[in-house]
Amino acid sequence: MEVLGLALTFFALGMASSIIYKDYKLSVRLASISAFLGSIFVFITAIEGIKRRIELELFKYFFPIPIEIDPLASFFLLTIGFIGAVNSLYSLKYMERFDRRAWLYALAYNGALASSILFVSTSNIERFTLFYELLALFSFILIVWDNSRISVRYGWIYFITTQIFGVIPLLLASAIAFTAVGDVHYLTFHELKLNLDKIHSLLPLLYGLFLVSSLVRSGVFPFHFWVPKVYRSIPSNFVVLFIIMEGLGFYGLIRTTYLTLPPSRNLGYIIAALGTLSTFATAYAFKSVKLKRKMAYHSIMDIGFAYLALGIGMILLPVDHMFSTMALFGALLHVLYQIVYKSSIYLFMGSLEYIGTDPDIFSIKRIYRGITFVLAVIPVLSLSAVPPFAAFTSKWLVYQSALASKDVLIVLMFSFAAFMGSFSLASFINLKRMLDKLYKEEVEVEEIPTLIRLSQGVLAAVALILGPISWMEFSWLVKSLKEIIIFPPTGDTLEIFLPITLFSVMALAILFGSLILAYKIGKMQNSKISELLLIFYNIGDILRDVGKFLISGIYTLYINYLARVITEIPKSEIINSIEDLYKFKNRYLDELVVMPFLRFIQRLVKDVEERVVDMNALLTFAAVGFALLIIIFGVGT
Amino acid sequence: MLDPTNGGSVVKLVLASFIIPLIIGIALFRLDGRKANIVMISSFFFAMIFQVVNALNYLKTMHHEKVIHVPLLATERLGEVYGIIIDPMSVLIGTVVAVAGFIFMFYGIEYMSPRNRHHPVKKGKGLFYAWMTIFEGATLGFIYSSTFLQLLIFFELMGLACWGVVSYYGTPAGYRAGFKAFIVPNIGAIIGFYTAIWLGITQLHDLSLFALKNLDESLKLPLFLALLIAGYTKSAQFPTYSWIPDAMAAPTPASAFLHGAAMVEMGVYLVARVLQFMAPLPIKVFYIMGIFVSLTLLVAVLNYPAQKDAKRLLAYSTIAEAGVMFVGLVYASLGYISGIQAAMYQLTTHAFIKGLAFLTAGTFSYSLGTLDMTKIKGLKDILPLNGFAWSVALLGLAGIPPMGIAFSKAEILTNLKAMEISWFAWVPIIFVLLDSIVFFAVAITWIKRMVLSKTERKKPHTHWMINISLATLIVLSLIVAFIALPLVEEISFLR
Repeated sequence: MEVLGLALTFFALGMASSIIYKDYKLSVRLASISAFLGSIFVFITAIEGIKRRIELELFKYFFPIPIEIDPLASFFLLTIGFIGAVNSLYSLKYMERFDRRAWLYALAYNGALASSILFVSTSNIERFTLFYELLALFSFILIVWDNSRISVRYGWIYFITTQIFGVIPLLLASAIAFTAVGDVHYLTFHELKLNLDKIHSLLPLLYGLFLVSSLVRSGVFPFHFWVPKVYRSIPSNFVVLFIIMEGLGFYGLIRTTYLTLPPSRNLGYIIAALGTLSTFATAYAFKSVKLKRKMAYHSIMDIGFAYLALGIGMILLPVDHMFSTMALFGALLHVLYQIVYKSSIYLFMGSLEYIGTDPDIFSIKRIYRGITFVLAVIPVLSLSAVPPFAAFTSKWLVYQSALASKDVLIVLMFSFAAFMGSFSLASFINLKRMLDKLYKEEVEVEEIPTLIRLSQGVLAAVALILGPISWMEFSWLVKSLKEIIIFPPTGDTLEIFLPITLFSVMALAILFGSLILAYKIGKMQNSKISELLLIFYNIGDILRDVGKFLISGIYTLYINYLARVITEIPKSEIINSIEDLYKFKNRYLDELVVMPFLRFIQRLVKDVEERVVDMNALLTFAAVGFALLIIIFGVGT
Repeated sequence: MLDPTNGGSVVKLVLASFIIPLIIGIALFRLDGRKANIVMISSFFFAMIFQVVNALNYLKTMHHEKVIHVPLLATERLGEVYGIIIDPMSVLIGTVVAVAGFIFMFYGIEYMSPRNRHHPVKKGKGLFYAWMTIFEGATLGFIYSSTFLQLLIFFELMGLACWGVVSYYGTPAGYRAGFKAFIVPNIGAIIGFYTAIWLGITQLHDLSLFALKNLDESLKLPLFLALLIAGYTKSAQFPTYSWIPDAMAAPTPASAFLHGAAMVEMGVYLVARVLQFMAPLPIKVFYIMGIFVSLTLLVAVLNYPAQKDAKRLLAYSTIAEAGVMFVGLVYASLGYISGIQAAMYQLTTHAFIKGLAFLTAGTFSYSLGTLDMTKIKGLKDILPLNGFAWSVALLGLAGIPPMGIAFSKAEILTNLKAMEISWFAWVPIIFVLLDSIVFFAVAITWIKRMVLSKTERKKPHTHWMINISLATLIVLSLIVAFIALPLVEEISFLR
């Protein structure tokens, strides 16, 4: 049996386990262990996939799923496998905080991991859509899992968003792909690429559909609104899965557009612009007191930055292959880094939850300066692009390519993103400053289980070494990702990372400049920072108000005008909500036209029955009628 | 075209599948009680078996790209008067009607019982069964017809059966609705079929659909438009849509049948059949159909939020879903076979999901005694299967995968390649998307209110026959897209 099949078997066992065992603890343990083992096998598959391309068909006789694992897929599978394994170990202990709905946890947690893997591995567009939908369904269950009023509410917002803007566009894109390929059984990305000339006129639509579905999956502007709400309301180990899914949205975009459709500079500009707008989320991260919410905004910022980088890569592709590749590498590394360090930070928040507090500045008191806290500092430094940590590497690559582009729009977008990026570190310095003020003593009063610390520690350690490792293992990275580069660079692979040019020096200067700026901002009084960020908050408020205005406008238009067309509402009646419409009868537009005529005939018949008709008038009426008919027919012939 | 030696048994099966219900239907007028149950369900069962065997036979032994055309009666002056066409389209839709019909009426046995809280039936169900059995026979006869006269006869017979089931409960509203459901498609039939038969007698000297190829080019447009009116009235398309929300007065299994598998769908089928012989048509047809279908979808979209009666909400959904089928035909008028394929695919997937929706709504009548959705709460606790079925049905109708209808709706979009001919190709698609979005929003609202809410109510009575029917339809609505695809892909023009 293929290793991937084994992985899926474990996930399936995990899903089924809780149905067999009713005991909460046992069910949760079984589900988490199955997920752990499944993730390990995914990890092994990914390593195999890096060595050689894997092509196979799963469930051949029941529900064939064509699998094609290339280096890009392996890269993501490696991440899912690793994070999935650590998170599942963590969940073993973390889930003891709860005491109900183990079966739902087992189903959704394992289901989400299994669908993530199949989403990345399948080469069939229809199956790709199906796994996207399954991801949406399982993640929806994860959100509403605790059945609290707030999580159910946000769950529905998430579900509606993913369905309307994620699944439906992908389904439509599959249909267009089907038009090109003509055979549902061979509806692969590769076949679509070969048959694009048949749907040439539909290409812009296809770009749009693929892009929208990826934006929703990644939580990038303008589909970012669900991210802080959802991350705030669900258990931390579930958030980790959502962070993986953010990366999957990015993967989807590369797979569907960059690798399948012809290069498009316009699409590049759109992606870069949306990514840039997403970096604006840091401003909101700054003012969030609740840590899970704060980090959710950082997530939007980070994934937005990756989109900006991908956009730059697309714009530069026809112009400069090397810098285009550099931007793409930067984007990919940034997604990988963000998954690792953000997961590590959320596991830290989970530790705070484990000891019974809601993660905020006050709850940190209970583990401030203990080992758990130290483990959290490492990913925070990685996130803040402090050298030599992770984000520093990816940002340097992207900054270089942006500066080298000599494109005014790119430079403008990049400058905005770089400026907003400095607020990441600033917000943590600010947090630290406040913590120092609040608590002068070292305290670690709460005991956190070893397994939780271990999982957090493993991720923190990886976040620590990821940046330097990327530098040391460039050749491996380039080799493994060679296939996705349309024009691979020649010569020493280090060239792509370390071209000693004016741009690399400038990029380095900007990075250090941002750090100094971040330090300065972090030390400022909160009121002053708020003033500085006011313009961004205002823009955010304007955008939100415009959205609300449009929705309420449609609603008002409907209940005040359109509803009066289709229901028999007296003019004097005031309608305040859709519920008010229920008491009125439907108005049939066709009857509205026909009924006067029918009533006229009815009245005529009644008249004939009730009184003596003036025969002369009737005959005259008939004669005029006939005359008119003759004229009409005469003209007609 | 015809291979009578191979096609002989297939033709017999087809003939039996609609003649037996027609004969048994007449006998059922005199029956009641258990006897009526057994006779009625046997008729539906045999029709289903004949159709399924026919479909399997067709797929296995025939070269299914071939069409079996058997003239049953031909005269010198009128040409072919009666006949049968067996092609992938008729086999597919015939099977859908027979399978869905059987499930609906299996459920109907328990629905038409004294245990139904809203409409307890103690006696007189033979009348209902009789009309339903005739309804099925007429629908199957219509599907396989190869001449305009035969189409007209079965079209009217369907109308008559529809009148019978809609006015079955004998309420004044029921009588009015039954009359309306009979008269509106009848006007369409007069305009469409009388024109076709008149042209058949005077111009073609043949009533067969195959004779349409000899029709003068100048007459093609008026004939098609006349038949389009017949199709629109039958499918409750704008501007003749209001008979269908009123036809809710019918018992629920009948509503499921006339919304999901018969009546409304037969309007679409008629136009698709005609297009198989007449497409491509002048581009005017494309614009006319596009405008009317967009208006139809707009009417449905405006009406969704204002409904609180479960069956009325589904009635507007039927108008829209038939509209979605017509969107496929809009493109077929330009000569795209993918348009007809998409329409028939949508017809197939819609039959089961709409059937599921109606049968679930019927369980609200049966178990809770109401169709008022504002009064139904906490289904997840009191009627979990029904709550699940209702959620699957509403989400499916909104076009959410993995329900099969999502795939057929997506297939409609493949016709956007017509954009190369006119930008107008976008318009109907935009309305299809709008319909999906608004219905989805409404569906979510009702699912939250009816299924996920809490209630103090005790678990009401339900029945295994009802549960089996719902479970079967849930499964079918998930897998039908995969099962139907081989036949859908074989549908072709018959010029």
